[in-house]
Amino acid sequence: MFHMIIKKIKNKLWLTLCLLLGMAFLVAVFSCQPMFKKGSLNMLLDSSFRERVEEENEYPTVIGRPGAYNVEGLSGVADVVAGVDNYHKVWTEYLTNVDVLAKQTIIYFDEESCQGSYGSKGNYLKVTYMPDMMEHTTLLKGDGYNAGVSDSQAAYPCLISQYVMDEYGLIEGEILNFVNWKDEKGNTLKLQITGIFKESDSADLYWQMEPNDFTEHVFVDSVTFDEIMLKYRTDSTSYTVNYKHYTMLDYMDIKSSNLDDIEYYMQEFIKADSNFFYSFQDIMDDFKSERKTVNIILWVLELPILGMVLAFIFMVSKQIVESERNEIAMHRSRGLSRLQVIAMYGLQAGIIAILGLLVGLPLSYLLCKVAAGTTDFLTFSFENIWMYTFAPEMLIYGVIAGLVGVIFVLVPVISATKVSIVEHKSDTSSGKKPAWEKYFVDIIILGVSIYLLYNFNQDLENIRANAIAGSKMDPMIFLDSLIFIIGLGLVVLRLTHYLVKLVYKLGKKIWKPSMYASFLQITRTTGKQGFISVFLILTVSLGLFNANTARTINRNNEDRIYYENGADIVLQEKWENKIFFIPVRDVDYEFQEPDFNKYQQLVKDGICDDVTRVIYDDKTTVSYSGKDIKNCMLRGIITDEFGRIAYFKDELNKTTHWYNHLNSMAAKQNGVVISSNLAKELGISVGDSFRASRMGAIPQKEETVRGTMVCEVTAIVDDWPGYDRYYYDENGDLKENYLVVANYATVAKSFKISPYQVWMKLSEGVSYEDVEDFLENNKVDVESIGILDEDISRMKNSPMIQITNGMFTLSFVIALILCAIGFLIYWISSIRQRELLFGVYRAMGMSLKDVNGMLINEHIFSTFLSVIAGGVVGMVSTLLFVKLFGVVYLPEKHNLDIYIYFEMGDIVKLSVVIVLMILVCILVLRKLLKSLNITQALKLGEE
Amino acid sequence: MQMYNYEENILIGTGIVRCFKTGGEDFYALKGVDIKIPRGSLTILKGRSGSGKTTLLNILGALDQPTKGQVIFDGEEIQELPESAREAMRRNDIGFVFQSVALIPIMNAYENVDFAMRLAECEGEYDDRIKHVLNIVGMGERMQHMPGQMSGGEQQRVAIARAIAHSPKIIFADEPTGALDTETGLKVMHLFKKLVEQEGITIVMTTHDPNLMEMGDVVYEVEDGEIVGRYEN
Repeated sequence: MFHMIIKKIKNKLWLTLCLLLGMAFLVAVFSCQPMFKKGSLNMLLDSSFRERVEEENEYPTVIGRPGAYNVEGLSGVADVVAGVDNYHKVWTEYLTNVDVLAKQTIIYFDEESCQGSYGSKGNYLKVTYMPDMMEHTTLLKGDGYNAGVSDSQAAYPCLISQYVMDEYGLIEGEILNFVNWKDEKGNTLKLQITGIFKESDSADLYWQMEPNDFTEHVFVDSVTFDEIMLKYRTDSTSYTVNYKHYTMLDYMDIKSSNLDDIEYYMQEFIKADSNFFYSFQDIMDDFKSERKTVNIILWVLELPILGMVLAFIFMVSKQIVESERNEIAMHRSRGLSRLQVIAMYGLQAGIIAILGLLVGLPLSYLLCKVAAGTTDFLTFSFENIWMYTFAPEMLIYGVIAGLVGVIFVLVPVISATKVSIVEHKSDTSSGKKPAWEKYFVDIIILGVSIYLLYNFNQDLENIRANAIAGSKMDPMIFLDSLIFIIGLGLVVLRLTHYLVKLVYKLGKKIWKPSMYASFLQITRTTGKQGFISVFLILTVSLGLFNANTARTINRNNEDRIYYENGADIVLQEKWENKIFFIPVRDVDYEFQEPDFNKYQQLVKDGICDDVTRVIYDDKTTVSYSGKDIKNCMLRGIITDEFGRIAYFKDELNKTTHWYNHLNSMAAKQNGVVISSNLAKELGISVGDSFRASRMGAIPQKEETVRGTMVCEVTAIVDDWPGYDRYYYDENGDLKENYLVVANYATVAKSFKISPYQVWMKLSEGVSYEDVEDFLENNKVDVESIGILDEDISRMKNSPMIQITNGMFTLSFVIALILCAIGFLIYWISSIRQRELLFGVYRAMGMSLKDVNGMLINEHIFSTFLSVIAGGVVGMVSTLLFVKLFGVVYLPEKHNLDIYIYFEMGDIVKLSVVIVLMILVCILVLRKLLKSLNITQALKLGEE
Repeated sequence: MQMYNYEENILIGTGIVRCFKTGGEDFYALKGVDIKIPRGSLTILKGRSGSGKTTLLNILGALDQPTKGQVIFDGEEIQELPESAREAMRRNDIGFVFQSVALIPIMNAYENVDFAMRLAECEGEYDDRIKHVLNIVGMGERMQHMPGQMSGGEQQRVAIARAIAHSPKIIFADEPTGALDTETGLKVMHLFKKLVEQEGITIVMTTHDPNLMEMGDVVYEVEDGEIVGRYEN
């Protein structure tokens, strides 16, 4: 039997290779799931940890506990250190796979009153000891603990941070006298400041609490700490040594795979020790909810690819079985049972599946790396792919995929073994309608999907709210698009059948014999040809839909980032607020304007095309006919510079180009552009005037009006560069922002010097690094900075976008490959099967040209129509579904519409592949036909 | 007994040699055959399988080219004609009936005949002629049936109707009864006889069935690539 199977495989080498390709893809696509999931989840986790570091400047994975010991039971500070170490040891014993990068223990007495010897005010300070401190410390002044201290005063050496020095007005050499702390002889405790310290390396993880966080601590070494502990007593009744301990875990060791374990341990630690704390429960919670979404998205995005590959396997297997029907029927009439025949094919499929597994697993690894390297649709950058590593589950997934593949190979065999040779002979010519066409399955599927779509659209606000709230998305939204594509694809196919029939009927009398034969071929073999048509329609429409969805999501995301940032770089320098006392015991302030002229150097150096100032104030009060709106956003712009620098999408200009708004505003000294929600709230329109008041910038002056200007509305807009219409307050409620944009000169004159942002337009080919160098060289104290390119790259590397792009790209590429190969094998093997028929046509005197013409006609009316239909289906589903996807993917807080993007490039790529595949097909067919020997072909029929 | 005008041969083959290359060696399927087909006759080429009769039929029917020799069809030397002219000849002047039936499976009986008429670009109203020829072969009642719904004999009768529909000068039939049982085979032969006698068509057919010999007007015996005998009934 085995020998026979090998012979069978050899006989149908090409088809078998196609089957192998299908199997390999099936294994690859299915088994890359766990690897891709693992990698993307790790990336998700990693990026949440990094975000914590970058945005909040906090190390994300800290565990620890505070505690206190009664001094009475201690023999020295070493006892405290040992006690803390014990806790640390117990924790790390459970967290075996997580490295500890650093630990910080702060041991201190309660604050005590002290007097500085140089006359500084009386203060309360905590005497503190920190193990290993000196290894992580640089002295700014003084010689540290080893310095000589004042013997006459019997003082101990101590260190203070820069903050304490500034805050309390202390200096090096000053002696602190702790008046409540006395030894047996009644002498008070004296510490002499022998050093001002800072951290050696600001990135050193040891400093979980940084030097400047110690706002009320003086540091001593262990010897001094012991002396104090053992020799001195205060008046307070309870006398304790306190500590805080932090252990910094390596967050790179916290992976999606061990996260659940770690969370379990953390909860167990807390149960056992109520003082225990850890800093990353919120990250784990967010991750767990996103993990669900990633799981769903991955499956949902993978489903169409798997469907396509399975359809491909089914199609190839059907072709093989069709060409072996005689053989199968013969086996059956020679007494082989159905089961035996199926087993024979099963064994053959098994061999192919095993080979498929061998090819598929490495391919899976490769596909996963490619998908992981996708930063945009069909765009790759392989920076982050190291996170994606082999997952052992891939083997299991591969085997399951192989088994499913075998089942799909066997489906056509099972139906073919039903009939005996007699039935088979009389069955070969029947042109039965496929079941879906007969029972209107297409219409039903389409109806269901449209109903679902309608419901989703009705529920759009809820879906948007859920997406913003970050709750998991409904996979039905994605599945519905797939159902819709299948339904519409089949309906369009049905329509093309009707169309072909109509064309045939209309010209029935005049058709040349070749056209006559080809029309009959198309209309009478819908069952057989239907499958390749369905396959073509689905692959083309899915490919197009995926491309459009990916493009739309990416481009809208980019648009939003452009809009939110407003310009290439938006920099806010730190403005000092000079506070001074005025008579009547009050304070006032004045902003210190940093030097703006230095930025002109950026333009001179060719780094920036333009720089401009934008005054910003989010606490402006707007008043109109007795109504006040507080906390409005005021922006003061220099209109022509702003126009050149700011990004604003043309489509957002609903009535007129936004330059016209700038011009009308510039034409009037007090002209302003306001947001439409403000206009509505106040009931004002263009031409009306209102008052804008600037309030005090320091807490004491928040209610004081610093300046007022009268504004005349010259334009009302929905959108403005950098303007977010909505925001969430601390209770999570959606609130609106109100915007007033005024002329820079007017604002500056009315409100005195006010902080402004510097907006920059980078020159062609210049990156942020050049600006960064400039900022460093000029020692610019940056309060905040928005960098467009970095935001875009962060967006592109965000796991959700990355998964989507990866999957859509894979899907598109696989669709193209399968579509091309599927199409070729269908045609070539169908020609092989029709060789006798061609022999008859040729014998009856049909010229080679006519036979070719006939095939081209078939191509036009089945392939070409299918491809066009696929294109139409792809576009219609894009128009109907992409906006819905956008709501899920782009839960942004402004009111920007989602614009549907499709890139001609994708359509061109798709078309080139299809045209190439048709060309290759026609060439192969011509060659086959040319070599067709009429008399040989006719002999075929005699067998 | 009918008299024939032997001078009026529709088809004359002289010195026909057909050589095939098989595995580097020359195999002579026909070794110099001379043959004349009288107009309006039923000519039978008789021989065992492998004798070369189908090769001869294919050459006479302009489906294949002789390696050497000459075939004159109705005054024209076939092998000198370009392929397109031979195709036109097959379309217009010749009808074929194959052993394998070879009806076009996607067309019903009516359409199969229609197709042959379209190929021959026949003049006039097709419908009447199609119905007429299907009636001649006794398939007038079943012209909407697809080949898959017909028996072997019925299919062969439709194939014959298709072969005569465009009023060709000659019909070639390769083992037309080969796949049929004796009774059905005889029916087909009677149909051929009827066509020759009533429609004046020339028919050349091959067979290995000795029982059918006496139905032919002229019988050639082919053996090992040569004509070894000629009889007239």
